[in-house]
Amino acid sequence: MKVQLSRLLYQHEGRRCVTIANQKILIVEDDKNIRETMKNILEQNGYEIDEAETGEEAEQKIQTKFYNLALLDIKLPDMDGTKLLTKLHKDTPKMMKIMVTGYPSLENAIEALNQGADAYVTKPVKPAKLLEIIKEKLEEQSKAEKMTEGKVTEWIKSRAKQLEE
Amino acid sequence: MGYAALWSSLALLSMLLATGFAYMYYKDKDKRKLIFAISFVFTAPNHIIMDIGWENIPINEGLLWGIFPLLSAVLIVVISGILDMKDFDKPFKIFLAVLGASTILMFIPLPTKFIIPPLCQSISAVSITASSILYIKKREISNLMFLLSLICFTFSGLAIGLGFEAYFTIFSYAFAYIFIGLVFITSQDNMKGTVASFFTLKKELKTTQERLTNIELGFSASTDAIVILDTKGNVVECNQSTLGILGFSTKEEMTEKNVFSFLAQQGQNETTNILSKNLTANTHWKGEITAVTKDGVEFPAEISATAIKNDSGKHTGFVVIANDITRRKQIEETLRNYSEHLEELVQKRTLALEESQERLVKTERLAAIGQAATMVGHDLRNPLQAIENATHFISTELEGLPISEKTKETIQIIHNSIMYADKIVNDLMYFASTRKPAFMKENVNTIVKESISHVCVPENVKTVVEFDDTCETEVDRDMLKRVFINLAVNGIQAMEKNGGTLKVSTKRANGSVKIKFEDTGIGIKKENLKKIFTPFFTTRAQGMGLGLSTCKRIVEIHNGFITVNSKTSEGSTFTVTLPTRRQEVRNNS
Repeated sequence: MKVQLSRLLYQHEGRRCVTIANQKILIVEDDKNIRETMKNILEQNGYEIDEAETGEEAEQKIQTKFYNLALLDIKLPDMDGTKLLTKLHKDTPKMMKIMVTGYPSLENAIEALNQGADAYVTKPVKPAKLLEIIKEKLEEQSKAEKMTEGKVTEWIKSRAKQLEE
Repeated sequence: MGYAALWSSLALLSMLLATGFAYMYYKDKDKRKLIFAISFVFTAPNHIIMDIGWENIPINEGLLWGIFPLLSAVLIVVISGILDMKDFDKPFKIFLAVLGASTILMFIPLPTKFIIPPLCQSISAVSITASSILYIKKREISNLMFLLSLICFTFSGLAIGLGFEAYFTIFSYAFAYIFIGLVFITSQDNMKGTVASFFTLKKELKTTQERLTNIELGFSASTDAIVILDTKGNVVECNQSTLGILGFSTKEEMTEKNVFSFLAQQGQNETTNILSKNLTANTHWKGEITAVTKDGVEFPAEISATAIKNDSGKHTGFVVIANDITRRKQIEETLRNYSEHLEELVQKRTLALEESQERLVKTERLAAIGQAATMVGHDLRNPLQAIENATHFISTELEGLPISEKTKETIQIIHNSIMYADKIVNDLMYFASTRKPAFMKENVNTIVKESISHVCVPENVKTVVEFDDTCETEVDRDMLKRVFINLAVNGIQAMEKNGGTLKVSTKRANGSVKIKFEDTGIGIKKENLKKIFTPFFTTRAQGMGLGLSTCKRIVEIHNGFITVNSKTSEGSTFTVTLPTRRQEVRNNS
């Protein structure tokens, strides 16, 4: 047990060390050109990128892998972006979700944010701006995680202590 | 000898009767009467002889035969009456034969004394019998009279034969003759004719009178004027309405006046021609003329004139029916005016309709273009994003590498083009959008300030701002910002080459606020001033020409208006006027 717990702690701690770089982003976009160019920019900035062309593909991918952030196009061939948003929010609430849309409107934005989006941008978005938003959101995320992590670490430590005792 | 005188008188009487009947025959051509007339002539002397005594007169006894014509006449007439003989030719011939025979017998020596009396008696008897039969059969008064006269004759004969007092004979004869006379008078055929025709005439007269009364009533009651003229056109008769229409009070005034005195001066000749030509040729003419009343007032009338001809076809005059059609003419005039006016109205309406249809078509076209544009704009966003991303990536890759200025510039050009493309897409989307405005109380000056801050002012342009006191109005902030940015950008662009000053000012007026954008740029050509607010109109190589039309739309949504003043090479001034109060119109937008 002790070994298992410490392994858990190590893994957890280890993960913390990794949060700065190699953060994973999922790009959900049906236009190939946008997807590839966006992937190039993000990789240029040190992120690990995965792609999904359809909503279904996106759902599958998040089942198998953990992503820090997802860029969601509002118009996808198989489902509405907001629908995907709702699903993702249910399954992986902690993942940051940025909606990218070609239809700028206040109502849409409000709705998206209500549905659980963390940010909302309109196409064509300036890559510099997007990078900024991504950085911001990931920082938020890590802060939140740190808090939780802190709590978990405390708990494990106390538990381990208890067990030892 | 006294009796002789009496008989002579009687004889004369019979002569007279005979003549009388002959006269009657002449009138009626009744052969029966002729028969009696002739027979009386023959009988007259016979009576004288018989009554005076043939012994006293030294004459031929043969004269006694003279009585036979009368007796035979009686018999013939009675028998023909019984036999209902209408054609009296045959009996007349028989009578003439008897007459001839009697005349001849007069000169043949025969024992007349013994033949005649019994012959007379027998014929009389037969006659009476026959007459009775006739009366029973026919029951006519004349037959009765005849019968009675026969009885009297027979009686008188018997009176002589039986030796009665002479009085009997005389009176019998007298009565006999009277009855004979009555026969003719009461002869029902004639009487029937006379009396009947008298009654018929009376009845016909009554009917005619009634009809005449009705016609007279119609004539006088008619509201149309009915005038009867003679061949020369003088008034013979007219009805009450004629007096009314022409302004006369009594018929006497009208009579003897000529119809032309009632016609207006103008067209009198024409009327004369028409009347004389048409009436004599066609007997009927209908048309409109100008009549004139007694007081000289002219009025339009419709007349219908007919020529009257008598039985032999001779033209005896005219009957004219006239109507005052002043009212009708007035109505016609009004109707004509209305219809003319209506035509005018219809033309105007058609024109307005055509114009509005044109506008509708234009609007629909624009809407269709807008829709297409929206779709295009939409779809453009993706490739623009891709280009944006790619450019950024390349730019980042090239960072730190030695690249030429040209390369840097080129990359910048790509950036600018993307921005410009994005702007076009945005303008297009905005133009086509049917966003509902959200009105809020805002300070216009603040909005102006914000808008200018969004605009990139180049170095060769100076900006001046002049604000009036707080202008608070109910506006849609975003929409107005768009307008102000657009106008500011336009102004700056006009001064692109040589620079200049952009003056933006707000001013409060009565119930409205004016925002002015003045530039000192190249200005707008006079012929383009009208068109600049129409969509897709642009004089620049760049730009789709949607900016100003969108501005106009937004301003109008706010119940305001936008005006422009410009002079080429001097500059342009765009003025946006917004009402400070939105009032109830808000609900309609």
